[in-house]
Amino acid sequence: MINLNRKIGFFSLRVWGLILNFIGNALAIYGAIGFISDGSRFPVLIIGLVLTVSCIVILAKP
Amino acid sequence: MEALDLWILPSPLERYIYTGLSWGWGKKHESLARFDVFTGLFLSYVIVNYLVIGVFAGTLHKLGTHPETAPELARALMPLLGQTWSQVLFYIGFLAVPVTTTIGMSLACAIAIHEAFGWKPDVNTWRWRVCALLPQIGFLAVWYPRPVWLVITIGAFSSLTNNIVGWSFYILFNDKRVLGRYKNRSYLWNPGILIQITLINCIAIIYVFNRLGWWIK
Repeated sequence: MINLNRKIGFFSLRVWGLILNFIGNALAIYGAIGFISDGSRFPVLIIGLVLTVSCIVILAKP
Repeated sequence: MEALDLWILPSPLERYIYTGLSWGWGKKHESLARFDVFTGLFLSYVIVNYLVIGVFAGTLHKLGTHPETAPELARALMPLLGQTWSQVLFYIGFLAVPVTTTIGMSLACAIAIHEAFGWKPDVNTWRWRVCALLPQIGFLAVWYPRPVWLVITIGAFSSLTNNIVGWSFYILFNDKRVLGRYKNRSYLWNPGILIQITLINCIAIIYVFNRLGWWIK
C-alpha cells in the first residue's frame, strides 16, 4: 500500500497527488474543449480523465 | 457550486472539530454536530441558495435586463413583488449580510490568524480588532462607481482561490499531527472531498481558459 504521508522533495505524496489531479483536470477540460469544438484532442481528454479518476481513487485512502 | 463548496469543505472542521473542541465537546456531541451541519449549512447554503438563484435568474432572464447597480437590481424584482415590497425585500437582504455573514467572517478571520500564529485570543486587544477587520473590504464599494462589479470581481477571485481552500482542508483532514484521533478515517469522506476539489479546480481552470480565449466559441 502507498504511504501517502511520505515526503518526496518539498511535499508529501498527498500534495503531489493533488497537483497531479489539477494537471489531469486541466488536460481533461482542454481536451473536452477541442473535442466539443471540432472533434480534435480526444486523446488529451482521455489522458486527463484517466489521470483525474486515478488520483481520486489513490488519494481516497485516509 | 459555490454553495456546495461552502457546505462540504469547511463544515465539519469549522462546526465540530475547531469550535466543538474549544467548548469541551466530546464523542457524545457528534450527532448534534451532524444535525447542526445539516440544518445550519446544507439547508441554508444549498437548498435556499439554489431557490434564490433560480427565482432571480428566472425573473431577470424574462426581463432581458442586466442590472449593475443596487437600485437597478431592486427594480428588476418589481414585476415579482411590486414596487414597495421589492425594495423592502432587497434592502432586508442587504442588511442581512452585515448582521450575519460579515460578523461570522470577521470572527473566523480573527480566530484563524490567532491560531496560525499561536497568539492567545483576547477580544480586548487591538491585535484582535485588526484581525477581525482585515476581511472587511466591502467599504471599497463606496468609491467604486459600479459596486455590483466589485462583487463580480471578488467572485472571480474566489473562483480562482477556492480550490486552494479545498486542497488545504483535504490535507488538514488527513493530518494526524494536527487532528490526532479526529483525523479522517472514512473511505467515503475523502472521495467526496476529492470530487468537490476536482469541481472547484475545474471552475478555476475554466475561468483562466476563458480569460485566455481558449473556451468554446
